[in-house]
Amino acid sequence: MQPRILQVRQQILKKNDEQARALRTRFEDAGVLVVSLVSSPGAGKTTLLRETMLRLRPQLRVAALVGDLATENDARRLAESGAPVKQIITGTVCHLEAAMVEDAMREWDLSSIDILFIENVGNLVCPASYDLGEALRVVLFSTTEGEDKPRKYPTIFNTADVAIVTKIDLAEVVGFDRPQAHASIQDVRPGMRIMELSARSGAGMDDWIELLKSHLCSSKRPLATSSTTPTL
Amino acid sequence: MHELSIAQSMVEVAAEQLTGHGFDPARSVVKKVSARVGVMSGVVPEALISAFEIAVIGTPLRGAALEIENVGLAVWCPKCQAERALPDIGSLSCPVCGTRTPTIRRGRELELIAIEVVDATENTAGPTTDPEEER
Repeated sequence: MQPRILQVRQQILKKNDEQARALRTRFEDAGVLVVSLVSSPGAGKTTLLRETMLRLRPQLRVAALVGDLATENDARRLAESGAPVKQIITGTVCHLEAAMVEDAMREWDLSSIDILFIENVGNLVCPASYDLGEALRVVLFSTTEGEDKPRKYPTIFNTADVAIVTKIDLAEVVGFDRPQAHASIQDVRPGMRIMELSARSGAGMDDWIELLKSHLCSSKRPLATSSTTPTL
Repeated sequence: MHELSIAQSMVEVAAEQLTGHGFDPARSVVKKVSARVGVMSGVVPEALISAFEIAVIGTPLRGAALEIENVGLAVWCPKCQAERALPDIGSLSCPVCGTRTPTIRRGRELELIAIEVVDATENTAGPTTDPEEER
């Protein structure tokens, strides 16, 4: 029996990559800005998203998908904003994949959404490998997690576009070293945009909302209604 | 563990490739699968090897070994106008001039490279003593 060597050269995650690319095209065609959030469990993704959606509505039409291993608690919290929200229960899967996103938004009309938020499963490791078709990926870490967090998770920081330090209102009380946090982000992902905020106190939230609105402007096609005018 | 998800994807891609190359997965024996894993792919090679052993059970790749080629991190230095290999992924700056280097050229790979397969239907004369490996 002669063994044969087949030269393959295929991306292992080509199925997810292809699905993510197809989603990205659909989102772009529909003029939807898709923003995903990744962080450790407890960094404040849900609280930030809830406050964000409350501020963006009703001027902008927002929706959210949230992934968790179990419970619908986060979807319930986000739904308090009044926006359409869908929970993705992953069971034992520690990250979201493009197929899960596509499946969850099946019944939604993308043309009726301005910004779609995707809250990933709380995990700074596994989501790094999976493109979800988003336009903007935001990585969050809280002041309570320490200023060297980025150094511990360089891979996920390198898949994200913006870093947000959350719970900035607690910085002093937990002894969070802000310059060190900025230095560790710049070491691990030079040139990364950094924001600091507290969803609870409101600090830094205006800048975050502005960032979203400016990304939304560039995601809408030239002939579409300007996003600076209220939509009904 | 997402290495198990990754390993399952490998099995799917490998099985597709077998069919694409004209092999019947039900009658093939896959001896080895080779993969390239970058240091910044988000995948731990040892965990992938363990996960692969589980993922191949009950599939056309049952019993196949996984061989991994590790790929280190390389960045582009805009000042030196050269590619630089970095010893670790924690500090993206040029080892020669110190300039920050956000552009990653190598190190994110997660690719299936080759499949070593035997078509069990080819042999009708019994086992040979020292099969030649085709390269």
